[in-house]
Amino acid sequence: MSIEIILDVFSGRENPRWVLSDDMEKEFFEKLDKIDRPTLSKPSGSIGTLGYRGFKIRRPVESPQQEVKLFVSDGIVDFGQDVVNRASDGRQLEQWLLESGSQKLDDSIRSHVNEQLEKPVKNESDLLSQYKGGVCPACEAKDAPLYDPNMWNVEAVKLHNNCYNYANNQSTNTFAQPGLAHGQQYTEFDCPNVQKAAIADKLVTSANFSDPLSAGQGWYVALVIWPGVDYHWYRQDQNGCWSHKPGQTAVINTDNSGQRITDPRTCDRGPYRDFCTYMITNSNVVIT
Amino acid sequence: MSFEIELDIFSGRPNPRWILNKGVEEQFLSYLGSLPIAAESQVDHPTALGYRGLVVRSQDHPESLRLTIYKGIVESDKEILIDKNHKIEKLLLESSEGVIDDKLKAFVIDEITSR
Repeated sequence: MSIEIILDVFSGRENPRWVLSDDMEKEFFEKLDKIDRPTLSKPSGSIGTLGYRGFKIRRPVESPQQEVKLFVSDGIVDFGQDVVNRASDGRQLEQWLLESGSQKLDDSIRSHVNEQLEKPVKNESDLLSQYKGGVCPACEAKDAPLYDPNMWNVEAVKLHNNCYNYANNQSTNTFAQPGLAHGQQYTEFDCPNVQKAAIADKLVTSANFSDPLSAGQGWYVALVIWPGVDYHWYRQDQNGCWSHKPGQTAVINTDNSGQRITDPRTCDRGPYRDFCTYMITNSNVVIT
Repeated sequence: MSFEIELDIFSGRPNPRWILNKGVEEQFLSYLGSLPIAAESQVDHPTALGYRGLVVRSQDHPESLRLTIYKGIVESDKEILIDKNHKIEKLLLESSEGVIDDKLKAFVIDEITSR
């Protein structure tokens, strides 16, 4: 199935749309690959204004090729919820997209969109500096959960579920403790003790988080310790980045320095200075 | 009136909580009443792991009074006050009477007074 382009510009009438030829599709992806600067910004057009808002790029999920669902505006490519957006310094991709549909558009629309595209992209240096960190590795676990903090950050869930609940993707509302469900709760805050308790819950120790895990085999988590004081867990999400829930506070995907977490072994963990191990959990693990 | 204090610090285990004894309560309310309003720019937000502040709740009216205190900033839903010398945080920490061990207390004091 071909890629469809939708020019998001109208309010009352239907937006113009057209399909890319195979050659143009190839060219589109080549241009997209060149836009590689990560950004936390959303394109302003996604909030909704009158007139030009951006381009939607679609290929349906039932297509034998990969599903495509992007929004391009303000020099930003919005990949959706689980993938970091990317920004370019100019609006060349939008100009190219406009050209690709020029046969379908009358002069007044082309002229209006061209006028908008002449405006410079917004300065996002402040946003970029707030979201530092390397590129997250690919996620090798087919069952890895989606990064969806909203469902955990509802007050009634947030207050009663901790890092262990979150890592195992189970909101039991019991502030779950490793080993408790199997009568083998930890007795000390050190790596061997808490790890053993997690094993009693049927988590499995792993030397890394790069071995592929097929469907049914679970996803990667990591255990760290504040020696003698407390433990903490991280989990790797489908987008490859790691996230966590510090106690009764909100789920986040940044470390104590505000950086994206590409590996809990190397991120800023505050007082949880001992990295114990990676482990594998799955949806059949029982915790309480 | 009776107040519950929670030390917001842990991730895996539940946070320590205790009831403020009457003797300290008067001192706490007196300090609170003397604090000036803080500017928004003075508010410092806690990091995710480690010390995140003290939470004070009224046991008699849990819906009506809830303060969070972090590094000299006292926040309620109505206002933000500044406690430059961290008197309230130190007073509340000392009031924990065996609920928090000395090592943890020392860690928190260190966090409170560092910038």
